[in-house]
Amino acid sequence: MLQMITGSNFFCNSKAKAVFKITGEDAFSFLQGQFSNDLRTPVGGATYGLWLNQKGKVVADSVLLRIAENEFLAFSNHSLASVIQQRLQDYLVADEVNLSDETISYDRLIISGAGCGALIKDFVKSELRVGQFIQWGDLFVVPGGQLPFENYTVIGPQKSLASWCDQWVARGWVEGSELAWDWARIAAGVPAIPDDLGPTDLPQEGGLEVGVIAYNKGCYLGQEVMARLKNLGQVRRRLHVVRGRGAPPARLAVLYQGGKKIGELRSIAQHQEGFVALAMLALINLNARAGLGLTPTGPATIWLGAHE
Amino acid sequence: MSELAALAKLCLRWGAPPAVAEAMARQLLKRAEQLMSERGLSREQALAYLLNLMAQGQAGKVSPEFQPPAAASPPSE
Repeated sequence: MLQMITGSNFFCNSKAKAVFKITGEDAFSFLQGQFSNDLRTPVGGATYGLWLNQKGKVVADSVLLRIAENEFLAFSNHSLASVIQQRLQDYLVADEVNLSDETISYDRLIISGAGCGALIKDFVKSELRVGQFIQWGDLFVVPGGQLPFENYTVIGPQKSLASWCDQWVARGWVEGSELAWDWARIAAGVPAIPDDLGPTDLPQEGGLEVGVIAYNKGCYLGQEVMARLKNLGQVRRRLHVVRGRGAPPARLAVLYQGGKKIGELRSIAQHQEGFVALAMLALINLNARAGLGLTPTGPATIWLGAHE
Repeated sequence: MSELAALAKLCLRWGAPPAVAEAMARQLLKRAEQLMSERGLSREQALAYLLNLMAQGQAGKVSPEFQPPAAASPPSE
């Protein structure tokens, strides 16, 4: 029987947003001193994490693939290559590290849906777990760990990815748009960096703590703020999934509750009946059951949660 | 019977759920169009290639031609 095809089984092929090769005898130690997550993984490890600034605010994100002891491939789904490059170059002083922007050579294929892991296992003849990747010729296959459904990212040259598309089409997968993927991401509450969580925000405000921030790896840029927050503090704002009917408001629209400003909209995805969005909301005085308005005195038109 | 209807019927026969057989058929036609421009195949060749892949997938096989693409060789010194 043909494997699957439900509404959520789709693939999406697009240009990569940012891909870097980082090599050199100091590559590991340099990256370990910059990245929010612990890179002490064996070769074949895939680690999602953030590039923070000295105030612990979010600059960019990446998945780092450890290809060899001192060879990494970093890619990001949303952060710009120029931003990541600048962030790394700013702290690259005396280290033996080569940073090579490979973005132009790479496309990205996202595969989503129940059963895609089993099919990938058939294709690459190897079982993959979150936190690992496999290099298959010039393609890198990485299980996605952030979304609450099975998904994989494959990055590589466009020509090599084309034959993958054929395989998925032949097994009933349907090509989706970036918008469909965005809708799934937003409904799951996963922030795009830096659109939803950027240089004015702390990782914890976007729910990016477990599996993203390492507390026992030693020093890295932003680490002191992360440690202080864990030990002493708590965030005052938090990213929430919200929903509404009709045409979506503009990104960064101010949200009100009880006549007072309580936050702002970030990413928005429209669907047939309305929209889902991520909103950064102050936690003090937030009534999760009451709606949010777009003006101080207007009616509540936006509600917390992806579903009624 | 249209090409789309015929393909949807084939997908149904091969076990696709009725609600999505037409979407699958549409996707097959779309991919065939892409293959025509990407690889210079005729419409018949592109569809035959995809249907052959489908048949193999339906039998739980991976096409023997589906091999790892060559990794880029390092630049010569």
